[in-house]
Formats: sequence, structure tokens, C-alpha cells
Amino acid sequence: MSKLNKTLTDWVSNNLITSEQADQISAYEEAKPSYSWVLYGFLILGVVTIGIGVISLIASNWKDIPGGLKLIIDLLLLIAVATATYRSWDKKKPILFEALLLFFMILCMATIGLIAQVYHTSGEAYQVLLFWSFLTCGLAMASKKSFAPFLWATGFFSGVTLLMYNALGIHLIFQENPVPIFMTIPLLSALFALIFRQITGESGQTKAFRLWTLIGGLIALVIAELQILDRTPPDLNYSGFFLGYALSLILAFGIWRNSKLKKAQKYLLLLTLGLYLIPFHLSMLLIDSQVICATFSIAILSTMAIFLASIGLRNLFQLFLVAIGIRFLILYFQAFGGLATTGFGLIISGVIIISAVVLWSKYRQKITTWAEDVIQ
Amino acid sequence: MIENKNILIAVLVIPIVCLAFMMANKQLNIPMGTEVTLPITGYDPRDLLSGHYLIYTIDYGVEDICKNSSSKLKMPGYICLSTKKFSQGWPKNCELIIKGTCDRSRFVAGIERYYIPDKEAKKAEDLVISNEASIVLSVKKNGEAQIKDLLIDGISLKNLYSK
Repeated sequence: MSKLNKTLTDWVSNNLITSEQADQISAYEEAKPSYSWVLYGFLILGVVTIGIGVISLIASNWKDIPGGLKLIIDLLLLIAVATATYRSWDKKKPILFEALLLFFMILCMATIGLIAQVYHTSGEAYQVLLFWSFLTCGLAMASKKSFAPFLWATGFFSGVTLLMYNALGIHLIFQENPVPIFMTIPLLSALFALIFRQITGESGQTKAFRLWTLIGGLIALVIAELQILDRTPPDLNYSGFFLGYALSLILAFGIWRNSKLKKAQKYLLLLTLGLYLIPFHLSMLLIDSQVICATFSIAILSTMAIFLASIGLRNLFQLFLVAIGIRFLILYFQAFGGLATTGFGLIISGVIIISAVVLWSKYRQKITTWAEDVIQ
Repeated sequence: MIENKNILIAVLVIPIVCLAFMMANKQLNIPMGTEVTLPITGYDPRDLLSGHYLIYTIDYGVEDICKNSSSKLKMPGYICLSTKKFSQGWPKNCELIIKGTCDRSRFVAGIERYYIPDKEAKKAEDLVISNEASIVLSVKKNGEAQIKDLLIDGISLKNLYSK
């Protein structure tokens, strides 16, 4: 018996719905086009594997095929895949469309590699990634799922990161220091997520940029903490952070004006944003305490986790809970002030977390009403 | 997410057109430049995207290249092949210029790689190390250079693969 049928039987037996309504719901669900996320997942895995295979074939650089002929074959393959992608869209085959779209995106990257090989071009990695991002941005927009936009976002943000680090002129602004660069990237991704949520709602693009923001934010926090561990004040001035500050202001304005968020959610996001900026500046302020840095990291992860829970993203909420747990565990290994102090600190932290959960579950309604009154 | 037929066709066609234009541009640039042959020395690393390549140092026959550049900064650099001089601004009264960047005191002009077939990588590396190797370039008036061929003792490396 399927999960839906079990649920419907349970509802009927508890007199929540009639058996006629259960039959109607069952018939409606069965009439929907079948879609399996497992099938889609394996299909995407297959496409990515084939794509890597094509790149590997190109990389082997067969000496018996002249460069010009390789380029012509490659162009014909691009045209064939583009045509098949369009046909799958026209015939309303969404899973095939997504798979072909993804393959076309990977093939574009392989073609850039082939051109470099035939004409012996040695450009910078950021040039390749950003050129590919430019070529495929429309394809990422065409997708109805989140994997193709996520792949595009990975290429684009990796390209922007390397551009900030390596490009002539721009590398001077960021002083070839990873801290301001890694602080800025999740803010840029968050801005994209905010724009897409406003325009397209909960689309694949919104989900992809949101996931990239969260992953990028987690990586950025690790970088900030590593800088504190380094204990040497960085040779860095504030100019590297200006883009991050500007993006934060735009984001804060966007969050404040976002009509889809409740007031409490807005305050929570603004608090997370404000806290997020602090750890990157601690070493510049000559604060090298790992405890202070860890406190900020845990506070940022906690406020973000609560926000994710408030918008119903249970999986991401759990991911952040795991991240908080890992940070507490690392705190144990760092053993600041001796193992005994750390032990007491962790026990107290654990007790606070459990108490907060118990209090929340008991007085959720009262706390929510009180919080809304305070906010209003 | 795109529901419009024409927009979908456009997003599928644009990458093909851009890539085809890039191929044509590279191909047409080769005969437009002045041919220059310069000696090289090299070894064999690997590039996952485009395959094996020889990376080498080009002997421009010019002293003090990027000598005044800071070890931390990247700056534009120009080599005048006519007068055999290096400068960090566009050289005046020079007919043949290679434009590049001083990256940590190393001059980079985007012509430091020569891609070779997977199976020939070791052979090509040995040939470059044990013989007089040189690179044939096509240099345009705007300072952009493009690789035409790699020579081993004056013979194209491509011709040596089959031997």
C-alpha cells in the first residue's frame, strides 16, 4: 500500500474525510503525470557521468583526428543536443528535457576545453568559468528543477571567487586575501536568491541560489575561524570588504521590503546578516579569541536554523543543527582553558539547548504571541 | 521555467553561435598576424579539461622582463621583439609587440601551453628536453599572440608523432 493510501485510510478511519473523498483524492493523485525523484536523481547522475566522459574523450586529444574536424564534430553534437532538448520541451517530457539541458550545459564546457586544446590557449580558470556562465545562464533559467541552476551557480560563483583572487586590478581590491572574498560570495548568492524568490517564487533557481548561499556561508565561517587560528593579524584593509558591505545593505533593504516574509522572520534574517559580518573582522580588530569566534559562529548558525524552520525547510534546518553540533564538538577538541573548563562549558551549553527546546514546546503559543507583540 | 518557445530557442542557439564565433575568430586570427619563432624549454603537467599539455618558458631574448614588478602584484607588461626591450606601458616605435601580464615577476602572455595527445605526452616531453625546441607564433598588431606550431629541431612536433 502506498504512503498516500495509508494516510487516506487513516483519515477515513478517524472520520476526517469520507471514503468517497478518499477515492477522489486517490484518483486525482493517480491521474497526475508520474514523477519519481529517485528516477530523476539517477538520470542526472547518468548525464553528469556521460558529460565527464565526453570531457575525458576530448582531453585525450586524438592525434589521428585533425583539430578542425574535431571542432566540426563538436559543433554538430551541440546542434543535435540542442535540437533534442527543444523537442523534449515541445513534446512535454520534463525529465528528458532537464537531462538534455544539463548535458548541453556540460557539452558547452567541453567545447571551451576543445577550443583551448586546438588553438593552444592558456587562459585563467576564472575566464573559462565566467565565459561558460555567460553562455549557459539562459539554460539555467530554462530549467524547472534546481540541479541545472545549482550547477550553473557553482560555475559562476567559483569563477567570481577566482576573478576576485586573480584578475588583474581586481585582485588589488581584495588584496589576494580569502577572507573578504569568501565573505562576499554568499552575500551575492543571497541577493540572487532574494531576487528570484521575489520574481519566480519557490522556483528551482531560488532553491539553487538559497542552497549555494547556505553552503557558501558555512564555508565562509570556516575561513573566518581559520583566520583566528592563524593568530597573526592579517595584512588587510577595509577596502576588500566594501563590496560585501554594499551587498549587505541591498540585502537588508530587500529583506525589509519583502512582502512574503513575516515581521519576525525579517528580524531574524537581519540579525543573522548583522552577525554574519562580524567574524570576518575579528582578527582585524586584534581579537584572536577562538571562544568569541565560536560564539559568533554558533549564534549565526542558530538564528539561521530558526529562520529555516520558520519557513518550513526541515532538511536545511536539520543540516544547520548538525553544523551547530559539529561546532560544539570542535570546541571540545580546541579545549580552551583546559578540558575541565571545556567540559563544564559544553554541559552547560547542552543543558541550555535542551531547556530551550522543552520551554519552546511547552510555551510555543505564548512565546510566539509575546514575540509578535514585541515586534509590533 | 521558460514557457516561451522563441526564448527557449534563443537560449539554446546563443551558446552555439558564441562558440562557433570563438572558433572562427581563433582560426581567422592565425594568418592575420606576423609569424615569429622563439626558443622554449619545458615539461609535462596535466589539465583535466583539455588534456595533456607542455608548459614551457619562452626565451624572448629580452633581459630584465618583469624585473621591476612587485612579487605580490600583477601588472601589464609588453615585450618589443623588434628592439628586444621590455616595458610596462605600450612601447612606442615598435613594430612587433607581445602583450602580457607580469604575475609574480613572471611574464605571462597566454601562449605558454602546447596541447599534446594523451598517448604522445611522454615522447613529446622527452623530445622538448633533449632537443632544440621552439614555438611558432602569430603576433597581431594589438600585441595578441597565438600559437601556430611547436618545432623540435626545426620540424613540427605533429610530424614527429607518427615516427
